[in-house]
Amino acid sequence: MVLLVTSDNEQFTTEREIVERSVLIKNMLEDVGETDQPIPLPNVSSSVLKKVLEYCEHHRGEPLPSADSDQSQDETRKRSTDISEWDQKFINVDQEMLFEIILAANYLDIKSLLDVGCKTVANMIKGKTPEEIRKLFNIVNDFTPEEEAQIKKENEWAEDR
Amino acid sequence: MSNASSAHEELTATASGSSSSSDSGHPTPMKPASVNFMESFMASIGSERECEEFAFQLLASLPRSHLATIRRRIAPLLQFDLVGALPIELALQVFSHLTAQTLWTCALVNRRWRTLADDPALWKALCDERGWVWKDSANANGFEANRTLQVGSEPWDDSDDEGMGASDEEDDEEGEATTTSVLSEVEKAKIMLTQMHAELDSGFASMSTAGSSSFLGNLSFTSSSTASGSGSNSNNATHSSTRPTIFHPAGMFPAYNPEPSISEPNYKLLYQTHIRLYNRFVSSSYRLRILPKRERFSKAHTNTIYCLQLYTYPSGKQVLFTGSRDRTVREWNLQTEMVERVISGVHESSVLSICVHNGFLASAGSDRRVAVWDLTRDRLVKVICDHDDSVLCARFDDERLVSCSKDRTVRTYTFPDLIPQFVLGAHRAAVNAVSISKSLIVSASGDRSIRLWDAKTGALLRTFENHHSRGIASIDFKPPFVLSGSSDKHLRFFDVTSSKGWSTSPELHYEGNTAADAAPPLPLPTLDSNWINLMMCQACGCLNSVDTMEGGTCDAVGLGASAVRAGPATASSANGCAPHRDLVRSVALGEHFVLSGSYDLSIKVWDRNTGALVANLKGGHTGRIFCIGFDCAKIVSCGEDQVRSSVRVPWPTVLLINPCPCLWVYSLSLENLYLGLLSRHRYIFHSATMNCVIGSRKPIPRHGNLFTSFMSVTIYDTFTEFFSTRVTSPSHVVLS
Repeated sequence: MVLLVTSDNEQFTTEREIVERSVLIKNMLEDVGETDQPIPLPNVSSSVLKKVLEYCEHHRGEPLPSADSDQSQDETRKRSTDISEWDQKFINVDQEMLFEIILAANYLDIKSLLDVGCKTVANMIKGKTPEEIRKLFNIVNDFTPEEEAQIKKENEWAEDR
Repeated sequence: MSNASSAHEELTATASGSSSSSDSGHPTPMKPASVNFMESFMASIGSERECEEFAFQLLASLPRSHLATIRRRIAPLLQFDLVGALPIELALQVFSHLTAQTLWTCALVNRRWRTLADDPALWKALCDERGWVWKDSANANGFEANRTLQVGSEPWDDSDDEGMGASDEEDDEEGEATTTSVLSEVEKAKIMLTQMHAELDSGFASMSTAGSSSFLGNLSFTSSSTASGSGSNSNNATHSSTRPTIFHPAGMFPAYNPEPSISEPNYKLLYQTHIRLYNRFVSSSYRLRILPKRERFSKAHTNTIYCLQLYTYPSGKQVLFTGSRDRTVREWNLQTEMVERVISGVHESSVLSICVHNGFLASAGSDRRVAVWDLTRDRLVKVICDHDDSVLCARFDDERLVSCSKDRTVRTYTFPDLIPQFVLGAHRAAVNAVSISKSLIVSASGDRSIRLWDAKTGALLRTFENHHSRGIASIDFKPPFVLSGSSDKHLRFFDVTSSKGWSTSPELHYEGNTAADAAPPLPLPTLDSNWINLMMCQACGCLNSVDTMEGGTCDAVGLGASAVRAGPATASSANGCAPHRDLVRSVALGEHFVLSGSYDLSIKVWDRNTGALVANLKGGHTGRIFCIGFDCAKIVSCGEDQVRSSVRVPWPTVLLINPCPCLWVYSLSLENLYLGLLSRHRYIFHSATMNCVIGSRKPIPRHGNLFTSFMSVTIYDTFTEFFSTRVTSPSHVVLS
């Protein structure tokens, strides 16, 4: 069993197999060896870690993508934003949580979770107009009308595809 | 923060979840103005953690209905620029899942998003997916000294041009069996498709300059444009410059530095240009150019041009090779539109087929010869004279040379040693065309069959019959796809592994043949070709994909012009029911499109996936079309056009009396874009030029009158213009 301590000092005890989906923790454990010492995760809050561990538990035992296969996988499903059904449900959270999950997955080095997070954001963007995107993310349009017209002009001819 | 955090009251937790996330760039939600006093109030309470707890307690004391209202009110506060808040590398990872189209949309959101969406890494990945490679422009348009060789020995009279070529042609007319084949576009396609994109792209590069110079030429000819003054310098400038032309959107040109250093790859521009070109193909915006120009006839062919091929030197310079009934092969500089090399004295009669690859040129003639020429050293390598009759087509790659003949055989040789390998003799009639790819050979014959051979063993792998109702005149092959054109006036495109595909003929024979079914698996990469379910239009007999049809008939009529813009799948159902009206003499297989040139004087562009007609180019040729070739920026064709004398033509009479072979060039014109014209080391932009270009799908006015028609090579130049999207750093758009 591994003891994890979050940024808000909550302690989580999990199985090594689950937590080792995080390459960061996996490497740590390999370096330290068997230890009862708690592993501090100063960049992850308890609420986020709870989510992350839920993901890791569901995907326990699945092979970790190696650096190489990762690359090829990237190539093949390049523009695909398909997310498995469980992952979709899992990632159906508010924007703040999604944001923090992405950061945590990046920090903990959980490639597949990072991928799910990024794809989810990509899916939120897809098929929307700029105005809809601004609304979705509460973004202020800081272009001058001239700039906006210029960009539109640059892009207009590409619109057929 | 969620309730979980409220369970922990440790005041020592200064690095709380919320504060750490704001450290990483998390913007605080926008607060209503009325909240200002709250801030001081909350500050008096202490840490954010305490505030949170206090607020929660406060909320918990409210009735549920109020809570629901509050929830709705604070919901927008939970929305924030998630992407902009992420570290750049993560934001880019999000964007890496987006298509180009979506990225363009993202660029309009705000400045931060625009920077992200324009990131070169994203566009490089998009280009890589499609195999579009950026090549530096430094030497892309490098000019070599004019090398016109053996001009002295070039005879001007074509009076002794009696027999062989002509007889081949006569045979042609009589029927399928002996159609001569001069498909240099097969080679063209081979270049395009196997060495793919580098070739395509460098085509772009060199054509950019060619376009500008020719365009200037037009200007000065027409002199109707206000721009004609500067235009007159164009050719000189083109000669002395190694830079491609840059095209800017309106108003952007002054920032351009005429002496740019090595250009930074601009992958977004690269991508945009490719898409633009594709759209032009789809919307059939072409501009016609004719080669040679009037003052340059001295080095032009003196008789019918039978075959042509575009070729790009390693330097990036693109040229056009043509073979003619005048027994010569000529190399055209597409930038200056001048003949730079004449290869003569090799063939004793018509040059029926040429193939250029990797610095070598092979030519086949009705004198039964196949000659191989070293273009770099400019010398003859070898003349092969094994066939018993006219050699109708010759193709070679790095490993072998393949020739086919009216004598019904196909012969293969090693390359570059040219040692005879096999004589493939199953055809029952003249073999009109061959196409090769790696270890496979495809031959098309007047016996109505297409045969697939293993080049390494000489074994006949498959025979495809019943694909055409008459002899097959032309073929192109890019495994696993074969495109064939026939004297039954139809094209057929199919996958040799499955025999599936499309045809312009309403009589479909998709069963394939039994021989194919029984044959062993082909040494081809298995692709799950996502065949659109094809079905025949009951109204017109045209083949269409199911999803473009409704109720069994083409929705073509109603769609009209709008269908053309609808993308590849549906694009051409609008006019998809228009097969050729005569023998299809030349076919070319490209990435998105397939082209066909016919004796009916038209060139048609078809969607490769659906077989729907994309463009129908008429009006360039007045005689039968013998050969076509294309790359992503232009279509080149040659035909049998005859010169009609015109009183107004002030040329030496010899040109009027004799057939004057020349080239026609069609190029796509860009609306709403300004052309950058190269002149005296400066790029000059003429808004006035637009009037000349837009919509001129017809021959350029004065030219048109003068050269009413000729034996000609036509270039449908989809695109010679390049344009920059950035004011501050206009880049070379060299798609090479």
